[in-house]
Amino acid sequence: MRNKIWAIIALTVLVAGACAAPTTSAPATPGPKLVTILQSAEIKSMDPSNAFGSHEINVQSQVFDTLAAIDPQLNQLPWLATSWTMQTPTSWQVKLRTGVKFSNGDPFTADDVVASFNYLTRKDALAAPNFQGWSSVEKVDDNTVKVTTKAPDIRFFGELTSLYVMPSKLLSSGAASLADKPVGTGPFTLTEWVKGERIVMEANPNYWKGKPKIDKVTWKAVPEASARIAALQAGQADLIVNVPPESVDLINSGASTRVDPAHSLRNITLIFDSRVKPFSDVRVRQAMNYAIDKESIIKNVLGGRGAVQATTSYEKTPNHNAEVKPYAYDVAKAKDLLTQAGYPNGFTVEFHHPTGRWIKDVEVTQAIAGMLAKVGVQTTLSTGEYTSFFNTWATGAYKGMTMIGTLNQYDADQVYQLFLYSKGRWGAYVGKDDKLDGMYESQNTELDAKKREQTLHDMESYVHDQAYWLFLYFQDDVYASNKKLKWRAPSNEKIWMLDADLS
Amino acid sequence: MTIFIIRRFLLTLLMLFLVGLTVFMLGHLSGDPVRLMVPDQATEADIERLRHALGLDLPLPIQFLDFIGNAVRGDLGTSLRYRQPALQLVMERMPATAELSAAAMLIALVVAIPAGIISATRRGSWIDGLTSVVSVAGQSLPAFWIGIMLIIVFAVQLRLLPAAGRGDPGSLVLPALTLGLWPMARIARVFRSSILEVLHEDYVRTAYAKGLRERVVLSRHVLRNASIPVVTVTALTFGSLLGGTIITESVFAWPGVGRLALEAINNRDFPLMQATVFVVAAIFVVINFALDLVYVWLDPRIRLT
Repeated sequence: MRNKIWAIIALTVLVAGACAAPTTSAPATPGPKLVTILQSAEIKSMDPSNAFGSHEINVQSQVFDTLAAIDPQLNQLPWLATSWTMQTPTSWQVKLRTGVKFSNGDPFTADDVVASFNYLTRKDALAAPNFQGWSSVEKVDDNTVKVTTKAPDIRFFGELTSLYVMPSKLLSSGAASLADKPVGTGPFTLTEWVKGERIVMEANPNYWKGKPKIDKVTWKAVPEASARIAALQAGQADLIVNVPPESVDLINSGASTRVDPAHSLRNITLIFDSRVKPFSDVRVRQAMNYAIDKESIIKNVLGGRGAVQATTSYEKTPNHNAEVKPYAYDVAKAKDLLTQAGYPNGFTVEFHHPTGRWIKDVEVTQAIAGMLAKVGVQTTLSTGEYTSFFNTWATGAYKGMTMIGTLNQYDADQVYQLFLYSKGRWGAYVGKDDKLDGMYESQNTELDAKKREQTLHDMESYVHDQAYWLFLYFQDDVYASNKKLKWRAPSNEKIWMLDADLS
Repeated sequence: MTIFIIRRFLLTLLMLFLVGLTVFMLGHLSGDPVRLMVPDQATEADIERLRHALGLDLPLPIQFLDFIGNAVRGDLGTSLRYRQPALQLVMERMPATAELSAAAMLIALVVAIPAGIISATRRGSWIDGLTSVVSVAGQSLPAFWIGIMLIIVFAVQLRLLPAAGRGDPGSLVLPALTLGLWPMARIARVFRSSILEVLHEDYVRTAYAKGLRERVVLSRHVLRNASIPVVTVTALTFGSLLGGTIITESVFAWPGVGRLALEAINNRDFPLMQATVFVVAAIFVVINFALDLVYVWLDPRIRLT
């Protein structure tokens, strides 16, 4: 019996040992430059008309080019379009780059732009709402298209950045294949996709900006942050996304790893329900802004990674008003304003927030609740899983205040269109403000850039004074990478590999 | 026997119908996928248009009847996110999950069976003590934590194995170990107590009294009788392993059904949620059915009743 048992044990150990045999690691020879990137969610489709979320856009935009682009430092650049000029208030001429080829060899022409626009705006395409302002795109000649807009379109640039160019021949013969076998003019071409495991792309030798320095990029999805970090530390990944604040020191202390933070365009803010008391009173809203120590939240909860928000847009967003300064932390002033508004002893209010959506969202919420308690404002916290939270919020049903993260990218007016214009998508919470609506509407059709900039500056300072939001901070996006990787951490959640390099 | 099988089959159909109804209702109560899918710039009109294009504007009972009608014909709908047949997506992921579950179960059995036998026959020995400690740990430590610890030790410190993903040689080891620890602990405990119980039976005493050697008593009389509860636990654990894969597959970025289910829930991808639950429920039913047949083989008394 005893012998048999030992035999079984020995066999077990042997089997386990064989399973755990070390994998052979490639010797460090100066060969092709390979980069492995770990994102947190899986890629479902390579078809840009159904892109969902920045993780999909990141992968797709290595393969497809747009007509215009915004780089990681938020510079606005001509791309497959070289120039665009307004001819009448509702018609634009767009000149296209010449000598560009798709990865299947087809030349890039105006036909591709027309077909791509039609494909991106078909009725069940997720990308269709990105082209609100445009009604049609027509070919003028091989290198020119004419865009007709529904009204004077001040967001023309934004639409150019959304227009992913796909080959017209493929769109007419079998657009469905794009989801698996994308064909674009971008810096990389997809060479292998094992669903759920990895997407591999190789540098496009004929790229119109020159062949990228990185030879091969592999994308994988690893949902757990700790597993992403472990893979980076083990040398199995070169770039990872969404590093939690508590892991920053660990990564920075590694011999071959480094944290790459970037101020993000995502501003975390509390949106008041200004339709009803107590937030219908501007003094109450201002008092709330004075009552929160934003610096302390950034330092103590976010590990120092974030930028205090003064008004609705980020400092690098076009038409941002840099004159507006953040509300100071001033408890006495907050109490004073509350007393003036008739709430010397404060009040109790609902506070809605999601969990796990933004960096440390729950901890930030708790810190805010604690600070508000110091000025007598008690909060009833209501935590929601993001999807149901957001769906309810979007209907305008939440009372009190709600934590929302907004992203504004190519113009300061974007958040007004969505959150602050009373007829905007989620504008209901502001209540009725004719002055703000008037300013929004006037800039919305103002074709004189100087005048429009002035109006947007006025809007930003007006909304700051009216305190429709409790302005908090722009969260940092924290990436981490192998120290050998040269790249630019983006402010717009968009990973660029076309000018990255590996030393 | 035939009546038994027919009754079983009808009950299975009813169960799958109820599973379908529950998943459908819970899914649709949990939120609107369309609002999450569209870009920020979308207007209410855009949202309505997309909802209509996806058939999500029909009344719920009609949507449910459509779903059941199609399911009967083997069509579990089209994933809202992937825009591909949901059943096909689940079946594409099934090999990865099957591989992981089988490897986990293999590891569990290879360790648990000898451990159970030794700790029952050598009660109070150090092996018995070790088995108890490992069993308690294996059943109480969360898979999430164990997974991360294994990654830190074997991938980061020792650099022996890949930290996450599937495809590299050796990538199966850590997730299978993580997933296998719980059934390992459970089976070892059940086997140990089952053997102990049988050892006190009259027929075992008789066997010893006849002068049979310990090895013969164990292999002929004890183990076969003690294995019935083990078979039950193993089969049922195998079914719940499919659920356990949700966590393990997420930690190790293993592209299986568990992770697909989690993403489907996060995205409110109703057809995909329904398809994953359906397939897993069907597997569970098949395992249960197979289990009944194994009982009959193991224990002739069940055949007679």
